Amino acid sequence: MIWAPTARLLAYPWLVAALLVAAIAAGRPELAAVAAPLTVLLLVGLATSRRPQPPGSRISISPQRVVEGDTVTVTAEVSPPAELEVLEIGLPLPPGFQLEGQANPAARSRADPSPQSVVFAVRPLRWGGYSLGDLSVRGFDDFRLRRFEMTLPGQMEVRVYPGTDRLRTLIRPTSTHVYAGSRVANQKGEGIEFADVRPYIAGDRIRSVNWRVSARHGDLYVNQRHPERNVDVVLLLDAFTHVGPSGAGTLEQMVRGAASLASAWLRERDRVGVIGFGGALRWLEVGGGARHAYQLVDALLDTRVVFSYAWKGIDVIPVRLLPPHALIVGLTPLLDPRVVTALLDLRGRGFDVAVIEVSPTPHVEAAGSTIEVMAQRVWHLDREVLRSRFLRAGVAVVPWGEGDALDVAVAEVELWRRRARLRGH
Amino acid sequence: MASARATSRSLIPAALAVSLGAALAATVALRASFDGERAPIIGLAAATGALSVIVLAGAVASDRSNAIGWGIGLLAIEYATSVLGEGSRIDLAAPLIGALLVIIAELAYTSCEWRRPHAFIAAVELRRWLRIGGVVVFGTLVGLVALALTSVAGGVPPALLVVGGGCVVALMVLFAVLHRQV
Repeated sequence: MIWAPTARLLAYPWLVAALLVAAIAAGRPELAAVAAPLTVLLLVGLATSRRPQPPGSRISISPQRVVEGDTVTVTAEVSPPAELEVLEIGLPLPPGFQLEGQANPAARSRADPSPQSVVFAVRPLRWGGYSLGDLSVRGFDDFRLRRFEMTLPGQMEVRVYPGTDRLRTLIRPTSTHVYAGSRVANQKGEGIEFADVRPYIAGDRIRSVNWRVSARHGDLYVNQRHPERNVDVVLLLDAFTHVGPSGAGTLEQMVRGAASLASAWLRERDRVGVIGFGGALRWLEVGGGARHAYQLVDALLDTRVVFSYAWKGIDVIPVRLLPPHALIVGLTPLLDPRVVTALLDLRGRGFDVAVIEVSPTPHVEAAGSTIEVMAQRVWHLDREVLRSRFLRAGVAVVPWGEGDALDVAVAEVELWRRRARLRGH
Repeated sequence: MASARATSRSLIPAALAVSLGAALAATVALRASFDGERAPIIGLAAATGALSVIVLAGAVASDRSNAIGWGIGLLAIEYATSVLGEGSRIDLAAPLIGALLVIIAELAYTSCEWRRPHAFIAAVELRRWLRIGGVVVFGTLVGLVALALTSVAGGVPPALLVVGGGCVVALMVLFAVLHRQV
């Protein structure tokens, strides 16, 4: 709590003293008369000033888990101290939060001594974990000779989840898992999708008999179907580099994309895991279900770039994070060679890999001089070479620009993979 | 960061403080030039007045509330210089000068406070200015009574100077005691 003199109280006594001393020294009563109003103000102001008691408060935040762009309401019930005419209640906003409508700080008068509620509606603009709810209160005594300041603790954790795009298509993995899901497996077995017919063998169900084919061949034939299975998907996020402004760069785009992909796959009853591959390795093992969806988004919120010179390859990734036959989707701006090497190594070890390139190009400054133009052209050519390396290795690479729909990038990846399958890659 | 509304609102007391300060400085300098007996003192008073307006304007423009006291102090010095040039005649307008100094200082400080995010309630501001007005009027009356008594007494005898010195010391002690009590 601060109860400190204002600039007035630091200046007025000196002025009064100087005027009165000058009056005596020069023998001029006018100077004492000049000091009279200031002297009276000081005497009355100091005599009426009282140290206030810390105001009682109750602060609540609702809801504490929101999606970007939703509204969070901070409600504070504050009892203004009687010693202060007005209590100003302000909500310090963390970067990335925007106040909606009302004034900040809000004012509450001592005219009503009962607890008065102050409501701040704020809108988070960027995903992440934030501490919100500490209120700063300020007030003055009647003549503003002293100021009162303190912080009312009400800090709570607010988790802001990234807004997700609704995806119409998803990347179809090469192989499925053994558990039931929504993906049509390549294998034949019990399912819905028709696969083939084969001669009847003892033990086949009568309802599987294909009577038309059986009548044509004069022997019993049964239908075979593709079973519906789920898939394991691992999202590998490049946490080595971040390009663009804080809050609107490649990292934010990457996390949004990962959240969209993860929620789409989880809706399809697939199992999804996430690896934040960067200076610090963070992960969440593959899993499914509603609880896992929350854990996964929480893990994504903790994704941040940790700068490191140390070389990191896939050997640092625990083996259990990469289940056999899992589809690995890399989200990366393709700027750090460690991620590029890791993805190619994973492909080399037989994993099904696809890359969504979170394009850093929109964040690159426009070239001014001829040399800069040349340098940018060389850089773009270098990236083209990098993409062709992935394509030669059978890894689809599709750039996803800022503001572009993720659905389009995913559809392009799927199209390339379908063509590659047809080519027998 | 101050909002645009807060910044524009702070312009009103800032403009009032600077224009009142300039008017006071000009009035005191003009009065000194009409009534003055010593030309160098008049020039000094005018220069101090101009400097005080510059300091005051600079303080409110750059949101340095600590410099406002210096601006007010320079205005007081200008008045003191002009009074010293007037000779033995007692200036009965002195308490009004003091009242104006308080008003100018309060306007300047208010301008600096309104530069930052603040909650504005018109009724509260009105009550505050009424309070300041009441205190200033009372202080002016006290100053006028003191001047009247001095003029009736026909000057300032040495004994009164000693008593005055004691009063100044007592007043400062009282300020210090009140300051510590709060």
